[in-house]
Amino acid sequence: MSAKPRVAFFDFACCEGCQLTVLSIGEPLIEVLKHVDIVSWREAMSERSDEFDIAFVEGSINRESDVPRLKRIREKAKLVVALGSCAALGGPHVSANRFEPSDLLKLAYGEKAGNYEAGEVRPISAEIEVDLPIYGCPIDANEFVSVLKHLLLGRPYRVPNEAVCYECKLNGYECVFDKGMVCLGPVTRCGCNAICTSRGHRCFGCRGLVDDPNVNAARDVLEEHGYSLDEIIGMFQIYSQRAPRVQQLAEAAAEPQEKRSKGSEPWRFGSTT
Amino acid sequence: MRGDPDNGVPVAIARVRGAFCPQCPGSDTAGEMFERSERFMRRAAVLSETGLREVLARACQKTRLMAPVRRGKTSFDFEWIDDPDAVQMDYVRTVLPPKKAFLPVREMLLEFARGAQQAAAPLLDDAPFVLFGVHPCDLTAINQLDWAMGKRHGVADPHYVARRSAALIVGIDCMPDEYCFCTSVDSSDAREGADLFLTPIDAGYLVEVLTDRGEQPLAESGDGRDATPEEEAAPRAHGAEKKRRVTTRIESELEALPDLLERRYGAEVFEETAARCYSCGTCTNVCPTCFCFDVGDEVDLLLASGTRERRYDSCQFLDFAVVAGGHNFRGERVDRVRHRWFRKFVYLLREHGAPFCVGCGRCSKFCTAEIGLVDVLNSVLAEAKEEAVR
Ligand code: SF4
Ligand code: SF4
Ligand code: SF4
Ligand code: SF4
Ligand code: SF4
Repeated sequence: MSAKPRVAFFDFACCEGCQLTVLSIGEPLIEVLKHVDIVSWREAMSERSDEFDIAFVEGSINRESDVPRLKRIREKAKLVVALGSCAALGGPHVSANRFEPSDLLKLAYGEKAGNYEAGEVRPISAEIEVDLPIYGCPIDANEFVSVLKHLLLGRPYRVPNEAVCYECKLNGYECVFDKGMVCLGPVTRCGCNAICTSRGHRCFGCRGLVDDPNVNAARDVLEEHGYSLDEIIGMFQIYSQRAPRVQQLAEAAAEPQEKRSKGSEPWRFGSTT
Repeated sequence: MRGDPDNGVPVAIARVRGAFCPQCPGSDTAGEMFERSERFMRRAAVLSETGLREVLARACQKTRLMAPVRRGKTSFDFEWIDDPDAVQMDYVRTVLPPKKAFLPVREMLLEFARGAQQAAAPLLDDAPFVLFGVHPCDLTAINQLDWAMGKRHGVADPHYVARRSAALIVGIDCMPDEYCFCTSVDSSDAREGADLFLTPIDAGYLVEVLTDRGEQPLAESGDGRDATPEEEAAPRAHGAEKKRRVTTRIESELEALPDLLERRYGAEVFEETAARCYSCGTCTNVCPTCFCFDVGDEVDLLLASGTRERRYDSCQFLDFAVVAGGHNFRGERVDRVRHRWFRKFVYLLREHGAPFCVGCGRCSKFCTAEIGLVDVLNSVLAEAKEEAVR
């Protein structure tokens, strides 16, 4: 048996974009992978083994039938890393939780709906203990390499806990608020080097909220910029539907009025104001 | 010529620099680099716009040039540039202040090897450069950073000093917008720290030559001529007009601020501000006088060697005040919010004798929650005065 740590990759409900990001790292990845043995990686190789030390788990859980497999991974692995925002937060499809799973199945598969299974969309941490999350939709390649290096050296990795504004400002980018847009950067966890705002887009919040996010401040500021409460909740729900402060916001908003028209229309990618 | 001890950095830094780090060039060299004892205009020259662009072009070729450039519709930033035509002469404020020339946002401090023979080599960048287009508020801030990084507690940061000593600084005068309040913090007509200072005039620029080092670019250019007496009066007139146009004001004498603020430690307005503050750190990261940093190591891909990096930090971040054992002594947002005003107008004002705020307006302009530094300060002052009346 080799002395190198054995690494395995697994995926659940997701687009596999985070694994693709890992594969796209290229040369630096090959260098650092010399220090490990990859024993299982469906997306990249055919051999597989059930003996591993570090498990990178991508994707969220939305079928009960996936839970036993996830738990087996946890039992075997010394370290479980949630790879990407699906595994760490539930992913963009957490917004499905606002609807009845059976309605969604009918919408997607029509008469064949009965052949499929769907339930509450949740991060893997809802079922097992996670040692380290790597946020991002998709993850940041540099952060992946950095995490791997920390694990190999046995050093604690500090998950970034500053707002995206931090990296955005350090790079001197023009704030999208100055262009009449709004942005979730002030409450979103950084680590992506503000890649979206570097291209003039707003931050969509794909890395989830910082610890102790001031969601109420964000609500006030976004309302002042002309967004309705429902639209604001929609913005947050794309990635942070399960965050307690977003849930509180949604609960408070759900109380008084009758059926809300815009609430069913999630905040869309690509809209420009 | 030696630096004037009252002039802040020169002598002190030169001395400490040599002592601090044996690998730095000797203190004599550093001392010469800080020859800027004369605070007042040595002479005034006039450069045409073309002549100035030529000076900048030469700076690009011979050394390096950091200058303001346009970054977007409404924003500017200091950047290392090769193209003198990209320099933006007329701007209100940059996103990041020019401190990044001396304190880069991300900076390699040293290289180390892992394993038995650990070796660390400090990385010092002392290649000469020109820092162009610094407004008086930002010049004032550079002097304050010189104190903080070079003199405070009798220790000098060799990385800061290396860059700082290598700079030729060209200041330029400006006109305020509604966020500027340089007149309240005594920074509107600062010259100290600059080698040359420009004021726009009809013929181009009136150039105040403030140091020996400042003579060199002019001598090389050949374009400059002596200023007429009328032209020599231009900076004063420009400065007076600028003062007239500043609309934002701190409603108190500076000396009174520490006591007034301390009396209102529990001011309501800090709670209100905290309710709206994201703790995003923008206000401090864009501040020309803030100097908090974080240090981290990154190893190379072979896990054999690595680098130590320093980057900006912020007292507004949730984790900023976490100490060993995990205790966070400013875990409440309101405590972090209050700290920003107290740091600038109480603690450092008392220690240094001047507020650690130069009125540039960046923190208020770039806060996406639109929290205004002066608005909050004036509210606290109003509370304090009300209390005094009662
Ligand atoms: S986090 Fe985003 S990119 Fe990664 S797997 Fe999920 S949906 Fe795809
Ligand atoms: S663009 Fe977004 S992330 Fe960048 S400073 Fe503005 S609000 Fe923050
Ligand atoms: S800027 Fe926001 S949406 Fe874009 S990658 Fe970063 S966290 Fe995700
Ligand atoms: S920039 Fe504004 S919101 Fe961000 S920490 Fe500073 S005061 Fe708070
Ligand atoms: S506190 Fe604000 S106004 Fe004062 S120097 Fe810093 S950024 Fe400028």
